[in-house]
Amino acid sequence: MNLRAKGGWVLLLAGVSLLLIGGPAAAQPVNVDAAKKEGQVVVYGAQVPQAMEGVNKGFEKKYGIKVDYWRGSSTQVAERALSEFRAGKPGYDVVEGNRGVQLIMRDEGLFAKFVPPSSDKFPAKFKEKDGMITPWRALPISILYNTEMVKANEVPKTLDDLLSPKWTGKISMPDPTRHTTTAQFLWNLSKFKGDKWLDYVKALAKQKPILVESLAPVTTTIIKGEAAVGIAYIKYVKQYKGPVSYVLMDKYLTDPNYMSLSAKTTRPNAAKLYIDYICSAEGQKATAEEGEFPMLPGIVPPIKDAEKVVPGMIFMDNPSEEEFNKLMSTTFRQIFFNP
Amino acid sequence: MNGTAVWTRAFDRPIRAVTRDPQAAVLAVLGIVIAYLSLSPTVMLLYGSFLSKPLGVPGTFTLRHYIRAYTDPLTYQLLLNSFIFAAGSSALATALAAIVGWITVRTNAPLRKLFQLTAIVPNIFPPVMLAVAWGALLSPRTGLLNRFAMQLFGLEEAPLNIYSLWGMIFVEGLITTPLAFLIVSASLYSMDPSLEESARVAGSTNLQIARRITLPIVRPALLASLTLNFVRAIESFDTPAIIALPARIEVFTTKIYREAIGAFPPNQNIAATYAVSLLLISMLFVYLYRRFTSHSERYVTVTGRGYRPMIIDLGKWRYAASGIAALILLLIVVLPFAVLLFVSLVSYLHVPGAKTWELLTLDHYRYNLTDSRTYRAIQNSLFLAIGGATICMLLASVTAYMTTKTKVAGRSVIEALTFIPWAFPGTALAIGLLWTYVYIPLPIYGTIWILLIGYITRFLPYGLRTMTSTVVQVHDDLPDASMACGAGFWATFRRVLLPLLRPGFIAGWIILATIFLREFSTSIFLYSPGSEPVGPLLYHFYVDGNLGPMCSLGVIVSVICLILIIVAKRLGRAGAQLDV
Repeated sequence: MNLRAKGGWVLLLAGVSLLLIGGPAAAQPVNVDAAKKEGQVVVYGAQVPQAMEGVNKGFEKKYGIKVDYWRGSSTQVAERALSEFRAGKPGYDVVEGNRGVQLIMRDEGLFAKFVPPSSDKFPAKFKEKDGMITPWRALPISILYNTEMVKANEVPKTLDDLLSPKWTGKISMPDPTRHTTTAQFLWNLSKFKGDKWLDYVKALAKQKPILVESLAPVTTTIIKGEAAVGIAYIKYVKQYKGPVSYVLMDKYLTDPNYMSLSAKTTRPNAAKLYIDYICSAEGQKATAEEGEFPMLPGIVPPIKDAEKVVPGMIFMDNPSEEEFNKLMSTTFRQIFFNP
Repeated sequence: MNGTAVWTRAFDRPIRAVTRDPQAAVLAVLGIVIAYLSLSPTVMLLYGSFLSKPLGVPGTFTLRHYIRAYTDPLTYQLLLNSFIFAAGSSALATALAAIVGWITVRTNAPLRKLFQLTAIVPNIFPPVMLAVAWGALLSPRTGLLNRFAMQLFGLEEAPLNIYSLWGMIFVEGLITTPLAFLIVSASLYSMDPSLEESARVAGSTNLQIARRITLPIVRPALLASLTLNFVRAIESFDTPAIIALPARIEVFTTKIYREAIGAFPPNQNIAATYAVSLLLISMLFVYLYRRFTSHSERYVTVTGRGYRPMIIDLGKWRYAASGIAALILLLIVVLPFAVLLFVSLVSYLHVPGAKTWELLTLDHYRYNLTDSRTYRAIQNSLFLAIGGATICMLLASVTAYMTTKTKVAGRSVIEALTFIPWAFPGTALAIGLLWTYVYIPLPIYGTIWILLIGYITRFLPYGLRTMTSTVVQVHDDLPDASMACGAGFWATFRRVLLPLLRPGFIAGWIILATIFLREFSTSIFLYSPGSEPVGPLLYHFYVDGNLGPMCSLGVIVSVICLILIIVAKRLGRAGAQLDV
């Protein structure tokens, strides 16, 4: 047997053993010098810019690599990234967003495999087997309310409480025909309600909610007093100033968010270093400081009772692309726009 | 005859003509540029609406998108909404403009010159800001005016709701009033006063004169204002983006936005289908507008006939007239700007009161002045404003000269081609451009250049309007004398015509640069994160609920706009002095 053939056997064996173990993809080292030479990284992300400031400044300071961060809702990020990719002109090196749209982008071939070494200590259940997308923060969803408008004894305790007539016209939520995470959230209510989830959605639509673009402006409509209550991420309580708090529940539908490396990046090293930094203890602490629930165990954001939220997180399932299409362009459009 | 001979004959004549006649060469290049700018997005828009696959993916011919769009009952609802919205707002704008125009041009109402600010000041505000300001004033729960009214009259419910079709009509009417004012006041200025004087001598009262003489004379201008503002409203995405989307009222532009980028998954084919319909409607109305204005004047300008309009003495009613004009100024300028300033200076929107002192902050300005995304957006917008306005005005100057001062064959074709950009709605043009540049192997898609091309195409008619009216006034003797002295076409254009055209050039440049600096309806579809201009950034602030940063950026952009106008005017004057 010659050397090449031997090499082939070794590779095959390694492959088989990997398949047998079925563990997550192995971490890939990052070339820091090459990253510094590239000098810049362009990130399209769904995180609000004020919450990325700390972590981006930390990265820029540590490595002298400029971070160009553009924020859109998860849906907009996916739309931009997909359109640019299809046109053969991707302007991004890293794409951040929630699981649903990240999987769609992955399946379209937008990403290259990269497992940051620093993500080693993340809980195994969040790691992706194919190593194409990397989780870095979790986003539990709850009810947010205006503390000046809603008296302590009137605060809704569960999602069902939102169906009470006193909240008619006073609920804020993103438009589920335009916002993927909200479509996904409503669809995942089946985890609590079984087959009856669609009845709940119909009842919610009857409450004439104020529909906004994404989860972030739900918070501002509450702060302004346009809505008294709303469905949004808990973290916004920290990220927006004003009279707003969240409802402590026993279970929260939660959305993990991911960082992924562009398959067509011209700055692969800087992009990898950025993702690796985000997942490092330093990056994760900076992330938590901004109100995020990071992936690294033991770190919680400076939000009241945040440690009580962590055990109640239930991760959402992901509709397929066709299911998303049907939900957003047919099911929810009929329920919310033709009641 | 063999093939070669045909080719030779086909090419020989134009080539010989070009070498003999540089004007024809310029016209040919011009024709190609304008034909390319106006036809490529039109053709590609149609192509996209018939293609089976999404943007950038090869596909086959299909009628599926048209069938889906026109079997959907919602389409007819949005058609109706669009017509009500556009008709309502153009009627409101024309009515307000006629009132302010009549008071400021024709009466002795005190402070009447001041009220002309109604037409001037809004040109420095980003248009989305006016809608946002009215949202802050008339939102059902948080609107400052609503809350004030509820406190004053002890009401349970907010009396007004901006998130309605009426709200949209109101805001769009206010936004388009300045344009209507320009059209109506120009006609009031240039009307022959002898007719009214004769009526007065014959014993008519003021009201009778207004009804029997003035109104019929300005009727074409009113009609022109109605049609032009109808087109402006039906293609506008500024007000619908801020008001119609949250109010769940679907109009053409929100539908195109929803399908192209606002929803998931994006469907640019369906967006193209709706954009084609919008383009056809808009073309029809622009055609009507041209019919209405073709008899009086080709383009709306003040003619140099040297009439002084008769000033009507309103007696004691003149204070009431000033009051009405002041109210309109308040609605269009004072109130919105005051709200913007207020929101930009407090932590979050609230009814002004004791709490305001605690919430006063410069944080939003600090945020904008230190944020790299804001910096990049301002840089991009300045580049587009200065570069785009300059290119556009150069193109407009040559085109205006060619179509009005020369007798080169084919100039009527160019005139006809400029009709398309006139009628092209910003949203539809943007969709057409996306379809065009995905396929053209030049680095244009996803860069700032696609925005530049979009702006120049869409606003070339604005440049043409100012340049045509300026070129017409240049006497033919001057270029003729230059030519007679042996100067060629280019030397004449550069050394004789351009200096003479400078005032018009600068005026047009200012109009374009200020539009480009604030442009939103086209940009929102064409920008990519690296080339994001101010308009889409403002909208991003808005959809994220960051009203404070949005309003402070709105104030900053207004100031930049003002500086740009002052500098351009200075440069224009300095240049004129140098020539002397």
